[in-house]
Amino acid sequence: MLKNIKKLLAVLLLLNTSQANAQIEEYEQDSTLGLYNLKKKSQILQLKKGYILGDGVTIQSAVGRINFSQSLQTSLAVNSFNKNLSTINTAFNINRARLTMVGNIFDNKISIITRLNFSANFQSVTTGTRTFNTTLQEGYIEYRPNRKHTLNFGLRADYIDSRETRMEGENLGFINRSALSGAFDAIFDYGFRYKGNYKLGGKHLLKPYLSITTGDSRSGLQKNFGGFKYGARLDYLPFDRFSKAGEFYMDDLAREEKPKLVVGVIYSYNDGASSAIGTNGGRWQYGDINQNILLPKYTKYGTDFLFKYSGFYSMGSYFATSATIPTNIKGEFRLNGQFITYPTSQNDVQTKVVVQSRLNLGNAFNIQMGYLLKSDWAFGARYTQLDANTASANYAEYNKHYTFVFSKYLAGNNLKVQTEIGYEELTNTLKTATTNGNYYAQLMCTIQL
Amino acid sequence: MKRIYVLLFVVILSTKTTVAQIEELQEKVMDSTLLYKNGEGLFLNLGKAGANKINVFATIQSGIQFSKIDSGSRSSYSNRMSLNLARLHIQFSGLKDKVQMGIVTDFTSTIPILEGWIGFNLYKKRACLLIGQRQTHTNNRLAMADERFSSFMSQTIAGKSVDGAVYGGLMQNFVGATREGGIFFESNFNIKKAKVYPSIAVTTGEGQNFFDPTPNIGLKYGGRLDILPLGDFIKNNAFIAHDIYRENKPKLALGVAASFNAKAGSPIGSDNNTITPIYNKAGTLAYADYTKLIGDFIFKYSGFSIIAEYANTSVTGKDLYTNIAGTKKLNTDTASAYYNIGSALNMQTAYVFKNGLAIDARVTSVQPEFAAATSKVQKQTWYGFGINKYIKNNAIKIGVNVNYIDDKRIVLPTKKLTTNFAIQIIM
Repeated sequence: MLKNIKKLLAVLLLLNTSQANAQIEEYEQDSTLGLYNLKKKSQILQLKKGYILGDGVTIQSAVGRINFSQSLQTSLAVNSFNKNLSTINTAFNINRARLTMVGNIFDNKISIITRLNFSANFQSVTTGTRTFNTTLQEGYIEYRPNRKHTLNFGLRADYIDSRETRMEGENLGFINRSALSGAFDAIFDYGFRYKGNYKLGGKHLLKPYLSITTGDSRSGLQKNFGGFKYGARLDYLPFDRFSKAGEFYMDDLAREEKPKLVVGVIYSYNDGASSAIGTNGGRWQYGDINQNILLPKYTKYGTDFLFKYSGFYSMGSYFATSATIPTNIKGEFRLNGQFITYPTSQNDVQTKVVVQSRLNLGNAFNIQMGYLLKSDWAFGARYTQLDANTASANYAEYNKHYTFVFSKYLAGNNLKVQTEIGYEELTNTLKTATTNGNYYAQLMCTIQL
Repeated sequence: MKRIYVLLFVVILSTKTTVAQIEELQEKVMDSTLLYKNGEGLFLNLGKAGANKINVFATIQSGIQFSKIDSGSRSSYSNRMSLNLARLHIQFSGLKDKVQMGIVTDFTSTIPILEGWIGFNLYKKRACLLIGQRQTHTNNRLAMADERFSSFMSQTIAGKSVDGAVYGGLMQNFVGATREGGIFFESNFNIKKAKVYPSIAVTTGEGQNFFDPTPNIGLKYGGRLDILPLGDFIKNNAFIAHDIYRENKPKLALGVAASFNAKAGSPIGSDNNTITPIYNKAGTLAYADYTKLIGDFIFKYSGFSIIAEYANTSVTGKDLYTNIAGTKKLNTDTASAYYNIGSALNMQTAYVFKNGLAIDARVTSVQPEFAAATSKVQKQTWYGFGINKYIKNNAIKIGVNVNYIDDKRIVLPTKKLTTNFAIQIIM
C-alpha cells in the first residue's frame, strides 16, 4: 500500500503546474541524497518507523543503527530554613538536558555511546571546585562478544556506586537521588569496565561488574591524579530478570506479576584520592618534605537491594567509607601548583585530621518504597541517614532526610510530572531556636524524546 | 485508505498545489519522514500521521566590530572578532500536539543551555502551560524573538548583548537577560477578525541564572496582552523587527506588559543577588521590589515595518535600609544607585526588498528617574543604522550596522561609535 501511495505522489509531482514543479525541484534538491554520490562501501540509511515517545530518532541500515535521543527535566522549588516557614526561597532549575547518541553502525557487537548534558556549568563557582568541562557525561566504546560478557572503555557512569545510580536520572521515582548518593557516589569516571550475566540454574542470575578507572571523574580527562580506582559489584537476582528492564528504573511501571529482587554488594579502592568522593580529581594534593605527591587511599563498600511486585517497589542501600592517610605528609599543593609547607608546630595527628577533613568519611543508609496505581499515579516515601566520622569533610550537616513524592506518569518515564516535599534535618548540635533544618517542595517535568 | 486516494486525486487536480501541501500529505500517509528546508533546518515527522515532530537546526553567527569612544578630550579605539551565536535548536511537538518541548543551546558561554522548557497544550491549543527557562512575556516586543532574528547583528554571550548593539538602549538598560526560569501560561482567542493573546508568567526574576548557589528570595509576577486587530502575522513575524516574510496584508500588533519582581537582587531583575545588600529594620536581607511597565506596537506590510516600544521601571519597598544597622534609609535618590530605574523609548523601522536586501534605522532615548551622578541609568540617546541581506530563505544573513551612543552622563559623558559586520548561517 505504501508503494502505491509513493507512486501516486510521484504522479502528483509530474502533473503539477510549472510553478509547483519549480518548487518541487528545489524541494527534491534540498531533501534527497543524489545516488551518484554513493560509493561502493556506503550504506543507505533509513529512518526507523513506528515511533513512540522515548524511542529517540533512529536511522538504520542493514548492519546497524544510530540512535539520537534528547531528554529534558525542568523544575521549580521553594524552601525555607526557618521553623515557621517565614522566609521562603525560590529556585528554578534545568536538571538535565541530555543528548545521547548510541551507534552500532559498524557491527552489532561494537557500540559507541556519547552523551552531552547541556545543563552544565564548567565555570568555577567556588574556590573548591576546579574548572573543567562537565558537558560531556559519557563517551565510551562497548564490545559485546556474546550475551554473557560486555567490555567497555571510556567515560561513563560507574557500576560501583549506589543502586540509585544504576538508574538514569530521568528514570527515578523521586526528583533527585537520595542524600546517600550525594555523599558517596562519584557517578562519572573514565576507565575500563566489565559486566557479566550468568545463569546459575533455575531462575538464579549473577551479574558481576569490575572496573579500573581514574578515580578522578571528568577532571581525569585532563590529567590523572594518584593511582587508579579499582572496583567491583556483584548483583544476585534470585527470581530471574525484571520485566521490561525494571531493574533500571524506580517505580514498578511494568507491574511485575511475580516478585523480583536484586541484591548487590560493592567494593572500591582508590589508590590515591585527591577529592572528597572522586568527583573533582586534583582538588587536594599533598606532598612530603621533598614535594613528592602523597595522597590518601580511599575505600568504599556497601550493599543494596531493589524489590518489585505488582506496582510496589522497595529499595535500600548501606554504604561506608574509610581512608588510610600517608604518615609523611608535610604540606599541600595549591591549585596553581605552589607547595605550601605545613607549620612545624603541626604534628602528624593534626595533619591526618586535615587530610581526613577533605574526604567524605563515614556511613549512610537509605530506605525507600513506592506504589504505582493502575491509573499511573504513583507515590513514594524515602528516609536517608548520614553518619559522618568525627574527622571528615562536612557532608552531613543535614543528617536525616525525609522525602515524599507524588508522580503522574503520562507516558512512562518519557513524560511525567512529579511533586516532592521533604525535610532535611540538621544535626542536633547545629539546630538553633529558629532553625531545625530545611523544608522544601519541588515540581519537576520530565520528557524524553 | 479510500480517503487518502480521494485526497490525492483532489490534490492532483488542483492547479494551486504547493510543496507544502505535498509535505502535509506525506506526513499523513507515511510513517516517519525527514525533510530539510533552507533556513528552517531538519524536520523529522516520526510515527504515523505526523503525530510527533522534531525540528532541529543550528545557527552560527560570526562578527567583527570596530569602535571608537570619545570621553572628554580623549579618544580610544578598539576592535574585536567574536562568535556572536553558536546554537543548536531542538523543538518537539508530540502526542498529537498535546506536548511540546524546546531546547536552545549556546556555546558562547560556560553554561551551554539557553532555553529548556516543556509545554502542555490545553483546550484544543487555545492555551498552553509551560515550565522551564525561556523568553518571558513581560519584556518589550523585540525581547521575545531570539537573537538570530535581530536586525542589528553583534556579539552576544549566552543570549545577552555585550554592549547593547543587538537590541539598543532600552533593553540594555531595562531588560538584560530576556530568558527566565518559571511557569508560563499562554492563551489565544478571536474577536471577529482580531486575535488576542493574553499571557502570564511567574518566574524567579533573576534571569537565566539557575546555577547560582545564592537563594532567590522573591518571585516575579507578570503578564502581557497582545491585540492583533488585523489578524495573525505570518509565523512569529509579530516579534521580529524585519518583515522577512513580507506580509501580504497590513498587520498590526498592540501590546502591553507589566511585571512585579518581589525583592529583586539585581539592578534590572535579571541576575542573582548582584547588588549591594539592602536590609529591613531587623537587619535581614530584603531587597526592594522592582516594577516594569511596557507598551509597544508593531506594524508590517509588504516588507515595511515600524516598531515602537516604551519601558518604565521603578522600585518600591517600605522600611528598607542600605546598612545592616538600619540607619541609612533607601530612598529614590539612593535607590537609583542600586536599581536601573527610569524610562526608555525605542523606535525602529525597516524595509525588506523582494531580493532580501533590508535597510534599518533605530533611535532610542533613555531617561533616568533620578538624575544623579551615581544613578545606574544615565541620560542616553542611541542611534542605529544597518543594512542586511537575506539569502536562501533566510538561511544566510550578511549585515553591517553602525551604532552611535550619546551618553550624557553627569560625570564624564562619552560618545561611542561602533561598526559591526557579521554573517549568519542557519542550517
